[in-house]
Formats: sequence, C-alpha cells, structure tokens
Amino acid sequence: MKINLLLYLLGFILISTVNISCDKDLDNLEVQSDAEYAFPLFYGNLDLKKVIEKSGDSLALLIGPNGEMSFKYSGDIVSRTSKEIYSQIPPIPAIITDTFFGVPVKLNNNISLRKATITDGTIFFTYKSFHTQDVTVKITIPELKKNGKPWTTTRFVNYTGTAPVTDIILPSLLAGYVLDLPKDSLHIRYEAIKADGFRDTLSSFAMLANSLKFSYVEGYFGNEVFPISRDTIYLNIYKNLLGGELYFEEPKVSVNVYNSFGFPVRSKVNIVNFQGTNGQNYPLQSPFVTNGFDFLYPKLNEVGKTVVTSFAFNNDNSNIAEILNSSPQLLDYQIDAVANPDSDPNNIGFMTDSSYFLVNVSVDLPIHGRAKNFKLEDAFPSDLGKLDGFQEAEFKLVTENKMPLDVNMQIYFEGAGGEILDSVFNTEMLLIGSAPVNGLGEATGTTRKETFIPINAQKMNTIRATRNIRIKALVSTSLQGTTPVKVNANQGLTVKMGAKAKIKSKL
Amino acid sequence: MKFSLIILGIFLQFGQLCFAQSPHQQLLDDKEGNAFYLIRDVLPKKKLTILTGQYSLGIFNDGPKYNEIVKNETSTLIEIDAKEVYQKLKDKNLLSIESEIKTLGIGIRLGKIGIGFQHSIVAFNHLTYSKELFGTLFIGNAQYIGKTVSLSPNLSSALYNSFGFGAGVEIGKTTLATRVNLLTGITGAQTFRSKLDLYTDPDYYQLKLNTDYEIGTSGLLNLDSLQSQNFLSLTNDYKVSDFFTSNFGVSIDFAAHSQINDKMSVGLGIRRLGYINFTKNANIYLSKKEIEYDGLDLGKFIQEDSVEVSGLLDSLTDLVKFDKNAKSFKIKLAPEIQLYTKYFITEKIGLYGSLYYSVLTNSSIYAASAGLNYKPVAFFNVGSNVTYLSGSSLNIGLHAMFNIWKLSIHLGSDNILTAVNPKNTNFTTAYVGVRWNL
Repeated sequence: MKINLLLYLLGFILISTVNISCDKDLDNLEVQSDAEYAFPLFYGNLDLKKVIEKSGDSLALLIGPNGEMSFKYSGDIVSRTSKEIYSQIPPIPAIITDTFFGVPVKLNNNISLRKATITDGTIFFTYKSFHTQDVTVKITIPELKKNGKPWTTTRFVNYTGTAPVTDIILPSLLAGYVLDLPKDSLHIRYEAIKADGFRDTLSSFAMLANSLKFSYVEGYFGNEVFPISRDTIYLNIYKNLLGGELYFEEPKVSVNVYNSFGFPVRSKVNIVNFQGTNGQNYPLQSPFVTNGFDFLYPKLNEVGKTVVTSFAFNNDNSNIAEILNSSPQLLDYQIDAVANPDSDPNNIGFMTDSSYFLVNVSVDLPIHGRAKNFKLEDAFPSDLGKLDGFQEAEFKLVTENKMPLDVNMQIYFEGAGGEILDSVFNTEMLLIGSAPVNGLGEATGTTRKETFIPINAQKMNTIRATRNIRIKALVSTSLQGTTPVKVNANQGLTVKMGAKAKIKSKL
Repeated sequence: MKFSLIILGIFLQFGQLCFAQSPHQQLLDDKEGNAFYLIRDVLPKKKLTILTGQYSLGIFNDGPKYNEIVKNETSTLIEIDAKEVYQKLKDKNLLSIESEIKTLGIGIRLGKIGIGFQHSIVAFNHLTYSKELFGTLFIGNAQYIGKTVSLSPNLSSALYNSFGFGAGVEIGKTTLATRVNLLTGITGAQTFRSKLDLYTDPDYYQLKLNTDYEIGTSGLLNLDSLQSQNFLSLTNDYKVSDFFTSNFGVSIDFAAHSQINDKMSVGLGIRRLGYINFTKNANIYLSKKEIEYDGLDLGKFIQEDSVEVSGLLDSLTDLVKFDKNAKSFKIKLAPEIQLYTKYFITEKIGLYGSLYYSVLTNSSIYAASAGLNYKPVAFFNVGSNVTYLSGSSLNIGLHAMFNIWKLSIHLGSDNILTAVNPKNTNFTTAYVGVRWNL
C-alpha cells in the first residue's frame, strides 16, 4: 500500500491539500504576527581586570593585596656584569733594576687594586748573569700569597765558561693566589748568591704577569661611566584615548636598581623625554635628572649581597603630573651609571666576577585619579544580517555599577565598507552610572541603571546590513570628573541585557 | 522557533475544519436503527453483508476558525491576528481529528443472531492546549512579564489496526450487538503529566521554566531536541507487517436499538472502550526540573570577542530538555457514547435526534444533532441534520445513500458548509463507503 498512511490517516495531507498546500509555497512561507517575545540576551559581571586583559594591556596591570590597581609600563630590564664593565686585566710588565723592586699595579678603568683573588693567569721572569761562576737565584713576591705564604722560586744558574748566562723562568700559574696590595704596588725581591758566597745583582731582569683573572677585586674603581642602552616605554593606557581628560593623582617614573657591585654608583640621566601623539617632547624635569641619584651598594662586609634601590620621579620631585596630563604615548630614556661619582680614591670598594647591576625603568600609574569624557573606542565584527527574523525590538540594559565611573556610550552600526548605517542613540547616553563615593574617592555602594533602547522597524531594516559594530564610550569619574576616585579590583560592574522583540517566522 | 511553527502549522490546518466523532449516516437507515453502524455490521438485514471499503474523517476545533486566525495571506505570507484569536480562546482548547479506514467487513445473519468480522485502521489525535500556550507562541511572552503562565500542551494520539469480532441478536423488538476488537498499535503518543510553567522575570526578561512533563511515544514524536527538524517522526509506507505489532490492545463496542412502536425507535451506542499497550520503540520523555535561562555569559563574550546572535533563540528551545527512558506505556482510547431516537412520520420521511459524548484524556466533547431524511424512491435516500457542539453552533449536514441492485453506496458530511467555505468552519465530518448486501 504505497501511501504514507500515517499522514493520510491523520489528515495532515488532506487538510494541507485543502487549505494550504494548493496555494502556498511551504518552503518560503512566512508567518507574520505582531507577537512580541521577551528574552534575556546576556549577563555578566565585569571586573576591570578582565576588561583590561581583553584590551591586551594585562601585562601592565598590577593588583595590590587589597585590590588596589595600577598600570605599570616597564622598559627592558638592562643588566651590566663585571665582565662587561671591566675587560680582561692587561698584562703587567716590569724591568727590575734592584733586588727589591716595586711594580705599580694600575688596571684598566683606573682601578687601584688593594686586594684581589686570582683565578687565572701566569707570571714569567727572565734575567742574565754576567758572573763567571755559578749563581743561586731566589725570587719572592711578598704581596702574592697562597695559604699565607708568598710566591717564591729558586733557580740555579750554571756557569759553563761563557758569560752572560740567560735564565728564563717559564710562566708559572697564579690561580689560587691572593694579591694583597696595601700601597698600589707589588714588590719583586730577589737574591743572587754566587758560588763564592757573595751576594750580587743580576742584569736584564724582567717580569711579565699575564692573563690575570680575579674572582674578587677590592680597591678603588675609578670615576667610570657605565652606559645603559636606550629604551622606549609605550603607555598603552593612552593608546585608545581619542579625547577627553585623564588625570592620575600619583603617577611616577620608577627606577629600580639591583646592585651587587660594592662601590658608589650614581645615575646619569642623559634622556628622559615623554612624547605626545604628534611627536611633541615633554622632558621630565627634576633635580634628580640634573644631578642624578645614588644607587645603594653593598659594603665590604656584604660581598655577594644584592642591594635594591628604588627611586621614583613623582609629583614631589618632578613635573611628571603635568606631563601625563598631556596624555603622552611613550617615554624615551637613557640612563647611564657613574661609578665613584665623587672621585674619592679613598672609597675602597669591591667587585666579584659575578657582580652585576640591573636597571628597570617603569611608568607607574595607580588607578587613582579623575577622568572627564575619557574617550574610548572599539569595534568588533558582527553580522546583523543573521537577525533577519527580527522586525523591531526594544532592548533593556541593566547595569549595576560598583565603580566610581560614569560611562556614556554611543553605538554605531557600520556596513561592509565601514560606512555608518545608523546609531543607537542620537547622542551619547549615560548607560552606566557611577557608584557613590566618599571623601577619599572610594566607592561606597552600587548604582543601578536601566536603559531601554528601542530599535524600530525602519532602523532594524537599516542595520541588517551591519557588518561591524563600533562602540564609543566617554568615561568620567564621579561628579562629572571633578573628584579623584580610586578604582579597585574588587569593584565590578554587572551588565544584563534582555530584549522584547517582534519576530517574523518562516515555516 | 520550530516548535511554535509546528504548532502553528497544526493549528492552521485544523482551524479551518472541525470534528464530530460520529458520522450520522444511520439516520438514513431504516427503522431498525444503527448505533455507530455496529448493528448492521454484525447483524445484516439479509444473510450476508460485505463492507469493501469505507473512509471516514472527523475534525473538531473548539477554538477560532481559520478566518478568525488569519488576517491576511499571500502565497508566501500568513499574517495572524493573534490577539483577536487569543480573546476567543478558552482557558483550555481542543484540536481533535479522527479518521478510520474500514478495509473489510463481513456480517452473516443466522436467523435472529448474527456474527461479523471487520478490519479497520484507525487514527486519532487530540491536542489540548492552554490559552497561554497560544498567547506565548503567537503573541509572545512579553505580555506575561512578571507573571507565571501555564503552557502545558496535552496530546493523545495513535494509529492502530483493529480486528473486530462481533455478534448480534434480535430479542423481540430489541436488537443488541457487541464487538471485541483486538488492536495492534502502529504508532502513538500520550501525555501523562503536563506541567510546563513559564515565568518571565521583569529584571531583564530571564526565563524560568518549571516543568513536570511526561509523555510517552512510540515512533510518533522525537523529543530528543525541540530544535530537531524531525519533531514529528514519520513512519514509512504502510506495510503488511504493520498489521501485527507487539503493541497489543483491546477495545469493546456495544449497541442497542429498540423499536418503541411502528414509528418510533431509540438506540444506544458505546464504542472504543479500551486501551493499547505500546512496547515497540516506546520511550517515555520526562522533564521535571526548574530551568532558568539568563542569556549568554558575557564572560564568554569577553573571551571570544564575538557572539553568535543567530543561535540565541534556538538555544531557548533547548531549555526544555527531556530525559529519555525506554519504557512501555498505555494509551487509553477515547470512548464514545451516542443516544438517539428516530421517528418516521411516513414511510418516506423520518425525523432523527441524537446526543453524543466522548471522553478524551484531558477534555471531552458534547454534541447534539437533529435531522430529517427523505426516501423519494427505493434506491435513493437523502437526509440532512443540524449539529450543535460547544464552540460550533451551526453545522448543517447532508447525507445520501444509493442502493443499486445489491450494492449500497453511502456518503455524506455533518457540515457541508465546510465544502462551501472551509475557512469559516471549525467542525465537520465526512465519509464515503461501499457495502454489499447479499
């Protein structure tokens, strides 16, 4: 029985044939009523942290233990090690003209050594004997000791009938020796005892200390400048700022130095310029820019310790607040380090082969301030052509705000070519109301705001061609941006949206 | 949205016509009466009667008519005046359709007694829906913001084979007949619990559903997801194997007719007193939960940078997710009772009146009918009747019977207005059949 009996018996086909099928295109049949459906669209608790993460600025956000928030834009971390600063110590040559002869030790960078622990290097001697008899030679360096005993060597010069006799002492390893130079010089003492028992001198006596390396050096390290590479810090907080005003109450440029060199170092600020959108320069002005500031350093009894110096250019010592009010885009800086800035040779310090200093510059913006119509703009793709069933709608936006911020918004619908098709409002509307604040600028409650957004049929038809939604927001702190407020990570914004929509259905 | 469109489709299809359970062709018969035609099936006037085919259909909608539902229509657009329809709806409304194909019937008279056999294929659908369900689907839930509405659709539907074995007897002026029908269900569905309450929160229109809904189905419905395109499961072509399924059932029919005097008789008919137990492809869908839909989580929006708006409404449909449990269930048939009387003014002209009552799962149907038949010549009989049902007050029926040699052809409808203006009626029956009286 080749009929679909079930349908036949149920009468669907029969009735459809009578009523609908004969004159209706079921595939394209639309059912239109003035039905209006109410349904929720979305909800969520927005905390500022997530929003900032979405903006790609998450690395800049710091949250304190009590939820206090700040932006921290850091430059590259620059480090300098002892090996970079002090190149290999040059050879120390000497012509020894007396049986007790002082050799001044002046290393590179005008370092005056007082004490050094040698990890590598050699010492080499040569001399001639014009004596016509055998000679016993004993050479001693009293300042060069190992286990408390000075470096010494004894040679026997054999006279074979021809004078002079030349003796060459092959390079001797010095690793493990400690050089103790209370008076900037090491001394060479030699004794030449002839076969007849009389003491005499030697000729063409020369010494060469070569390839010396130290694990610890103590002395005066001179008035040297250690260059630190130039760097740029981009301030993303202002990147999306298209207008309005944004004031931070306690901005600062922080310089943090981690130093394990044991001698005084002072900053030498060569460049510290903020730069505006159009390339304007805003030099940071401060006595500490002019005069520098000192890095802390470990004392002689603190070898191996790293000491941290935290310095900040702030409202009290610079014009940073004034500069940041100009919404700069970046900070360009170059800060060198000057060793022994007072050039006092009595400043005996130290370094080890692992000494370093590490410099980090950052712009810190605690979120405590005021904003007035701080303008933000963002766009995201959205194909509203998919809403072809919607005839008209009224959206209901509910915000419950614990942050001390007012947000006025406008939403633009853009076509495929970026042209503006329409906007939600005639002008920006206050959609998020600021939470109430106390005298300290701290939010003390929640502000609920309900906004109804009608999209009539004409507008709905227009925006169906939307391929991009652009949102412009004007953010102001409480009381129209006149009161500095604190934004805390524990504060949040609850956003809920529902819609009442008339929907056209297709069978 | 699929669900509402399906409902709409059913609604529109049914809305133009209506239902009355019993074709009234017996008013054309002779004085002996014929409750639900049972008496004639098992106790023919002559020695043998063979029914070689009869199709009957009854449709009833106690709500608005098609014209009252549809405001405008073109080939691609149907515009509903839903608010007007809504005003006309009762708190509970019924869409009912029944259809029967009698493929073969044999009745043999042995003096005062008779026996008979009959095979038929029967389908019935009874859908009870609340005013709020219609209001929610076609006016929208916006009108119910801050209120809880009961949606609660209630369905009883089945398609089955009936193998009837009957017997009749004449005792004086009274004729009695009964038939036991062995049933094999082909497909079916029945709602057992139907709580489906919807609350639309005024805050930002969150939807809260409180459900205690249980429906059994055997091959008829697929409620795995209401988004499914196959909400209605369609069976394949009817096959011989469909005669005998494991879905067994039984029902009993009974008829009595008594001749009061030469002109007046009374009769009583009861049929479809029984049930079918569905075990094949039987599933119980259950939803007993409180569901809250708050919209999309904005957290995802922040993470994913975009929202697929088009899927939003479909996700609403997924709110009601059923737990599926493979389990047999029982469908009670909708029994019908008919009480009638006939009065023949002359040999050619008779009057007729009847009361009708049918008990549905979640509703009931009352009807009253009065008619007149006229037999101008021996081979032709014609009649007309007026039927009243709650929600359909004026229905004019027309019936005819041709007796040519030993062949009897009968056809008719309880509401011929349907043929004239199908979109302005909400009740009709129709039947056509062929019987051999040997």
